[in-house]
Amino acid sequence: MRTSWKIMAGFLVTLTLTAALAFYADFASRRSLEEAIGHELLILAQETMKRIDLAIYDRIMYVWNNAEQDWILAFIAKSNQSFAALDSPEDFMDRLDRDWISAPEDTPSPLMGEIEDNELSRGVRHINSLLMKYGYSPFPELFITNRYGAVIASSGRTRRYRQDKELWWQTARQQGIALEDIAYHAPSDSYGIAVALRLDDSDGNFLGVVKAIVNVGPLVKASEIAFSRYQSTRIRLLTRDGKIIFRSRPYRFLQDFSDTDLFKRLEGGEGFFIGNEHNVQRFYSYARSTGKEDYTGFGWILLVSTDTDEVLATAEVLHTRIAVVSILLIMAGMVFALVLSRTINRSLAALTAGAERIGKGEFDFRMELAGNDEFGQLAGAFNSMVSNLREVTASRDDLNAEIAERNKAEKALRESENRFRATFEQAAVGIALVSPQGGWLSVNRKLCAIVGYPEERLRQLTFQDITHPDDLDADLEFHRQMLAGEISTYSLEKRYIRLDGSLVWTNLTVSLVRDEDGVPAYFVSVIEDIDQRKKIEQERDRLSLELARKNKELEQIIYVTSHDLRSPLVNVQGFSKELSADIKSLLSLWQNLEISAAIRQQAEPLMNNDIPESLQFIEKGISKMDALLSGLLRLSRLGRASLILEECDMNRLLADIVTITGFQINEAGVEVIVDALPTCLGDREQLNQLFSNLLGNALKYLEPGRPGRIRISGVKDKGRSVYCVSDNGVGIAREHQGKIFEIFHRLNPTASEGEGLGLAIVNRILDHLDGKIWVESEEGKGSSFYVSLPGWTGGNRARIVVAPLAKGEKEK
Amino acid sequence: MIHATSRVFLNHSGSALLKIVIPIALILVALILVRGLPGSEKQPVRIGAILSLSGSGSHLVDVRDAMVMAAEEVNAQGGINNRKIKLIIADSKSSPAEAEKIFLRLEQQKKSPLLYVSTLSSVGMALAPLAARHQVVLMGLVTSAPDFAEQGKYVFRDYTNSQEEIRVAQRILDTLKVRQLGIVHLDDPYGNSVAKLLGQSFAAGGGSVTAVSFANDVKDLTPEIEAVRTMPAVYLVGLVGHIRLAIRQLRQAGYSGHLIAASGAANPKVTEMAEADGVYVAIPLVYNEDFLFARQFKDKYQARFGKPFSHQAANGYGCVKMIAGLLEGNEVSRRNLQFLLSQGFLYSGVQGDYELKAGSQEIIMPLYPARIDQGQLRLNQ
Repeated sequence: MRTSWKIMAGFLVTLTLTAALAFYADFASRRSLEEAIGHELLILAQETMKRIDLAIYDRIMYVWNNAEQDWILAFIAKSNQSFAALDSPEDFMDRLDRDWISAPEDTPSPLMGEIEDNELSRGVRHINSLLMKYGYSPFPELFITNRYGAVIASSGRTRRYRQDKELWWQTARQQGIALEDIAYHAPSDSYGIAVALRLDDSDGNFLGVVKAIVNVGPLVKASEIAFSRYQSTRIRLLTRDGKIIFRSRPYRFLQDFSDTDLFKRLEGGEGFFIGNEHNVQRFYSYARSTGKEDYTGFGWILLVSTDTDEVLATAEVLHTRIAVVSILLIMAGMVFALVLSRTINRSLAALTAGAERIGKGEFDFRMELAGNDEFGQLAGAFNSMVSNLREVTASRDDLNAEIAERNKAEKALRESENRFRATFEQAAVGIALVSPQGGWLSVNRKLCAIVGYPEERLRQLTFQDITHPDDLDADLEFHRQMLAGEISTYSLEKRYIRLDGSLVWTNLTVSLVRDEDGVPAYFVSVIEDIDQRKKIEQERDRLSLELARKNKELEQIIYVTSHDLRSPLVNVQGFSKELSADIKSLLSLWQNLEISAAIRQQAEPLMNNDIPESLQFIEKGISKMDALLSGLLRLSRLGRASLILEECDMNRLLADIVTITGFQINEAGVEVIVDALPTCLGDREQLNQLFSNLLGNALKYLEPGRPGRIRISGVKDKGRSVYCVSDNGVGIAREHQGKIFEIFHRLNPTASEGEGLGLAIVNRILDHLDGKIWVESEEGKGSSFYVSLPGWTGGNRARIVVAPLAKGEKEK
Repeated sequence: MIHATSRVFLNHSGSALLKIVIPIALILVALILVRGLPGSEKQPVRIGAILSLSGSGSHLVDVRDAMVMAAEEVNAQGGINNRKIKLIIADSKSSPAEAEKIFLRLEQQKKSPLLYVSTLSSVGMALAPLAARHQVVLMGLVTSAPDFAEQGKYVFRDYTNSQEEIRVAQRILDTLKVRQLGIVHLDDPYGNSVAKLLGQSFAAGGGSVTAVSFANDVKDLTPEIEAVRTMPAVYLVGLVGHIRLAIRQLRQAGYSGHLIAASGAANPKVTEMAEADGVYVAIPLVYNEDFLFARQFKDKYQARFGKPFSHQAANGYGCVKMIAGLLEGNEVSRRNLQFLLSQGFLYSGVQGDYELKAGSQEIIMPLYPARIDQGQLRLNQ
């Protein structure tokens, strides 16, 4: 997970937890607020219920107090006296009661009218009117009976005249007060509780009963003032068994409420809760009537409800604010986290990038994080670390390099050792480690094979022990020079004396290994068995010497032969010429001689033709032989002539040759082109001979009918100067190309003159000048003769005089 | 501050983070908004108020004002079962024909009202048959015509009726102990019924009655006044304008007997008349000062409209509050409303205790004898 995500997640979790805490606090405070409001509403319900109880109690007391006025009591007492005077008050009341009940509703009986209009009834209405307001009658029914139960005064129509059979009357008489729960009272078309009070005279004698229907509704409605705090407050006043007495909304009197869930929650005397009614959440509190003194309260229940939205409006606002603020905080926090994470990421990225760069070895890199925060400090520490790291790394690198070098060296050493061991053991040459004193420290199998000693035996000896005495001094001298540090290595062909006493030629190559202090540790001697080669060389040298001697003898023979043959040849030539002159003289004499025709005829062809022709052949043969002898002589002289090797200006040399042969060139009508030619190391005279021969051959073998063209060019190649003489002549057939440098070989003996020595001489010259010649030719198109000679390096300005030696001698 | 090495990474991560942050924020805000608007999509409860805002019954504009305030109060407390009350107020111009047109037009609308409220007896009497035909409750406010509540089970009166008014008037006349009575009344169902019933009641007590009528558009009541000016007491039945005209002309004619006027005289336009001083009137309670909410509403009304609180205003206010309370927790439908009304109820409103007995169309509103005294109505207890 990226750091930014971690930061964001951390912030989100923190903010979410904070928001959750805020919501929990909001939830807890809401619960506390609900609890407080519940208690508050409960208190209000209790107080309101008390108000209602008190108001009803006041009404009861109002009736009681006003009914016990003296004149009222006197009026009742007078009625009692009248009834007492009757023979049968019971019969009297029954009769009047029947009349009372049977009277039409809109036409009161005479007694009824009399009662309604008597002084006490007017007083009763007055008592009623004192509390009347806005037309509300506090006592829809108010009447008084005497001690016999007969109605003697009424504010309105009563249902019956005789009340003594009624339970309330009997109860009031017996207990002083009778209360009836709220009910509809048809005579007054009203709803209220009934209260009956016993009236006594001053002596406590029972006088009568006053009954009033107390109008409860206005009392309850007026009590709503207790709920002025909340507009949504509503009340229900219920009977003990759940009948609606009053409601602040339209209601039906004594409508059954007991089946509702709300009523079922009204347990105990009082309490509060939050409930839901018609999909609206409301606070509910309830209190039961406890009455006051003689007023028992009937167990009524006052249920108060208030819309939670109104009650908790402040809390809801707080809740919303907390939610909004939480969200804003979360968003702000996320933005802050984003910015922070970006900032941190930048720093981290910079640190990462820096670390990567440093990781790549850029120890000159420096973090540039501003500020004195942890990242700035980290960057500073980082930079310090990098500085230290650079130093440490440098040391480490050195160390690593050293280690690597050592490892490499060790590896190389191991490989070397392995190679050495392999080489040592499997080498085709003998190898030995020899102590500075000459003892064999270690020898390989090959050496043992070469010198014919077992290893163990050989290691007990020194090289001096088995070195041929004739070679020991040289070996020891080298040995000394090496120990003295004068030379670092030496090679020497020497002979060892094998265990069987035979000698073996070896090529010894020695190097010295010194220890760290420069002290000679041991010699490494490589002994190559050259015994066979030595024998071959000795045979070759012998053959070379033999060949040189033979060559010399041959040259001597050629020279002597050619030289000696020239003398008789000269004689033959001289005598031939003399004979020719004699013939001519004889022929002139012959002319003067008289000789028979037959003889003349026979002799004259001989003398005029055959003899001269024979002489001519002889002269030609002599000339040819002379030429041959001259050539052979010249060829033999090449082996005996001294060479003057020097820088040869080939441009000048060729120019001289072309000039000398200008007549032939012009006569042949040949175009001769001489390019710029490199110098070379050679003998000018012989090079002149060489290139004269080549140019002469080119002129000699031109293609008839084709304009001749000869080009002489030259290049430097690998330290040598290579010249080319090319022509567009007849060319050389492939089968002849290998023979043209042989002596006396002629390409076309009948077509050209010559003795077949030109290219042989060229080849001979090049032998002396360390040169080479080869030909590239195509018959009918021309030939190119390439001459390779040592290039002039410029460092050897001295003239080099080389004595004529046989090839074998020179190589030796 | 930093090296630029991490820019790409930062841009990438920043956009990725924003992609997380923004949806979360939007979801949270959406949750709050959704939670903050409960029930906002519910259809309102429409009340068609065909009121006399102009014409002869223009004084009944108080009904409209109070209805608006009541609707506002109910809506502020969540409405009826979380449905707001929407008053569709239309001016009948005190014309029955105009009221009928409005009624029919509203009925033709896709979303017709739950019930209709009308003012003025003549208008209510014209709308009653339409309400019965369309099976929609018509609640008559400031509608005293005796026959109004007999127009079928959908027609209810939320006002005192003529009989109740006459009962109180009779009590006043009994108190005054007069034996001759002149009646000057509007020649319409309301005026005629009152004149008839009062005449019968008064005559039953042994008195004599002289009744004269006038047209709704009367400008001069001289002939009518001349007919009753010798009577010790004159009872005026008509609308506010008529009563004002009659009082003025009676005073101008030097009438010194007792003037008793119908409930229209309780209107401030009458009570504020200097000539109205001493006029008796049978009125419903304007407001019960023992009830806190009644006092509060009276003060709010006067503060808002800058005019005295009238019993017509109390009537309009009480009607809306009563309907809202009746429907609370019950199905909001025309049929159910009629059913609930038919069940009867008790209700303590601004003007006191209302009672609608089961099966009755009359919401009984207590009336009380009062006397105009220096611009104020004084109850005669």
